[in-house]
Amino acid sequence: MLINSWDYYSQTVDRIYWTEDTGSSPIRRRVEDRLRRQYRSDGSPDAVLPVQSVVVGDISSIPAEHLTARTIVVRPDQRGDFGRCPGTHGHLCCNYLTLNVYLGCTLGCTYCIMQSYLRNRTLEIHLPGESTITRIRDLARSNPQRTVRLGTGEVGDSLLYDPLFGISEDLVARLGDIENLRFELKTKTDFVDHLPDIGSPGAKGNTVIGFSVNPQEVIDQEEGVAASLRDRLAAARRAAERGYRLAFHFDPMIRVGPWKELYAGVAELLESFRDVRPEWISLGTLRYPTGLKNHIEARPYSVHEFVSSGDGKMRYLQPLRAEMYRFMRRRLAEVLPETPVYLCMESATVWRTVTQGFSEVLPDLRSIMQPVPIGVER
Amino acid sequence: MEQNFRCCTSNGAAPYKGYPEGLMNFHGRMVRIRFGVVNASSCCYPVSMESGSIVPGSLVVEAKMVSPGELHAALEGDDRFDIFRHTDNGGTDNGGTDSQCGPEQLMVRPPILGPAEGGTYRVVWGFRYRSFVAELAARRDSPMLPILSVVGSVDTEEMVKLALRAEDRRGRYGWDEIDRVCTVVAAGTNGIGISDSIRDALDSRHDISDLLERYRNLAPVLQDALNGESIDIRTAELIPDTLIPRWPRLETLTKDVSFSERRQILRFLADFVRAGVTSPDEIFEEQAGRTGRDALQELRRLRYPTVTDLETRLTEFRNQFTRGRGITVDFPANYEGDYLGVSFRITSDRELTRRIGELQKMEGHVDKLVGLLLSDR
Repeated sequence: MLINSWDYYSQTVDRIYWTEDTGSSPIRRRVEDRLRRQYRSDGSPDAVLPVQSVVVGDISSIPAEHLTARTIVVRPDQRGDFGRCPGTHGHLCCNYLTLNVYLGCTLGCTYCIMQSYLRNRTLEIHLPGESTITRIRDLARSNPQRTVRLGTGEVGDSLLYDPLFGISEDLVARLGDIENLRFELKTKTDFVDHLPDIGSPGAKGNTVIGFSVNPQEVIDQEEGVAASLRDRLAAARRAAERGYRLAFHFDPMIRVGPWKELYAGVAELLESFRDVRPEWISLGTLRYPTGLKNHIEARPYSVHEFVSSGDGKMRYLQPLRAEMYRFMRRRLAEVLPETPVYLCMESATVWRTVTQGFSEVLPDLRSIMQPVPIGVER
Repeated sequence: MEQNFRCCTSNGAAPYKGYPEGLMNFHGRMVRIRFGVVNASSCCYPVSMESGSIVPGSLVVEAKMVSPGELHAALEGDDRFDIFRHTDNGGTDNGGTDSQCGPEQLMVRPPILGPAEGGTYRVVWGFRYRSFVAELAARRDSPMLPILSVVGSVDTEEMVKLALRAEDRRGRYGWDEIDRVCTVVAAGTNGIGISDSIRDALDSRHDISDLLERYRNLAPVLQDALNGESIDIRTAELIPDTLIPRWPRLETLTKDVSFSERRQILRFLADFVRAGVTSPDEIFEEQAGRTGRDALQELRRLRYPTVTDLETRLTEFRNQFTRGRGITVDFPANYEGDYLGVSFRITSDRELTRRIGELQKMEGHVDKLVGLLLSDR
């Protein structure tokens, strides 16, 4: 179970390396101030802080023994950090735009692709540059008739390290004024209290906090040290009260024993958010690239009935997936009838069978799923 | 052929020419001898050609002729260095045939002997010739036999290197052989570990240390299965502890199946136990009387109930509507999709009419079948 952010950092992060071109960033000063404030109430020197902050020439200067997930490397953003969600071959994409800020995650979800490649790598933080922010703003402004969806939770948790780095705070401030931009922070934590208030009486801001949800039984078994379902939902309520829009992601749904009962239970809990009308809910069943197979072989879900899909990922057999989606859509329609529900990385066949044809679902989803031309692709 | 030859293991810089050749009479059978091919990186050459040829610091080995009795005594002595555990038929625990231990082989790849206390020999490599040499030693008229004798003292690591070079089975050593080599070397180097050259001689494509650690972590029964090449290490690692005491029953269950089928059976069983779906005894009870492919089929049905049910229903349909009718029905790969594929060949209008008639008999069934691909019921 996730502890408070500062205890988590002191236990899981040893050092932060800033590349030379980020060393003079105000974010570095903020991080070091926060480290001192949190860990050095007695005036002891920086050298004894549990998390060390160091500027290096470039990444190649980092000692090899520090190239682990206990190290965070901060560098400027790179070409390709902003673009379309890569989606997956042969499956319908929700046309989400992604901005890579926090790359890597240490929550330890067993099904996560990062389990297969993060073992000997550092976490990375890419500081969004002014040109990236400008590009996003221009993109949204030049498509006023569209809702542009942008999120930072594609390759890492948007809020896990944010109480320390505060990059989401900055992005909320820089992007929150654009009416047709829905900037989403996706998380499995309850770290929302550091974010600024953005609502005004009777009006929400434009930032969405998307909480990944699963039954507590699945969280306990498969989601490492992520926050409990109760804590995530409590954080969602606090965020909503401070002006944030909400979204929920049932992804990945896992066919554990009494899965219908368990997922229906989560859906029922979401009914308490009917008053804030969550912006969207996504559904995705467990899927994994074959490269992850060795890492999940000991998990109970590894014995479920997976088959290879068109994109090479293993997915539940099609009728099983369709059954899960149909079940959840019905339940969610009962508890949050006004919230659009979409499928993440699913085939056209499954979309058709789950929604009885696109006509039923498109009016709700059209505004959020239409692709936005972004110019040069990744 | 009574002359002495000198031989050196070299780093490739040594000259490599002038192989002495000759014919030797082995019990009336003329054998052509061509000294020197211990392997590509070591060579033998006559003493007369030695000048300036031995690589400084390299191991010096002399080619000598010894009596079969002397060699036999060394091969059967207590102070042996048989890291490959050659069997009496000349092979090793991990294979080998009689053809590798006859006179021609002995001439081309003579046994390598190191010095032992009391002026005797300690065999470093050549145990595959035991049976053959014993036979010669028992005869009065046997000829002298060539050996390569290490000059001076030689440490354990060097002996292992010599043995590996002579054995020359890189990438084809058994798990137990690699284990023994590494154990012997580690003991001889106070646990420093194996050098890159030994690692490379064992297997240049895999990380020996990692594989060995994984092998050593397995239960002995699984190590035996690996050495018997009836299982791969990944599958062995997946076998839960609760199945280990039941290994004999697993062996019965996997009788008369291919390597790949055995692997599937074992993985299915491991899956069930690991996922807590059932206990090992329940599995065996359910599978009582089934072995081999029957067991595999049944276990697959249990492991993938929805997939096999779907397969069964679709196959029944296919058989009902296509058998003997010249029509082929295909389903989407891995049942991902909502269509059936139909194909047929025709050679005349009449045949076309007949095929269309057959196709029309499918009417009323297609929706139901496509529905199976989309629904769990």
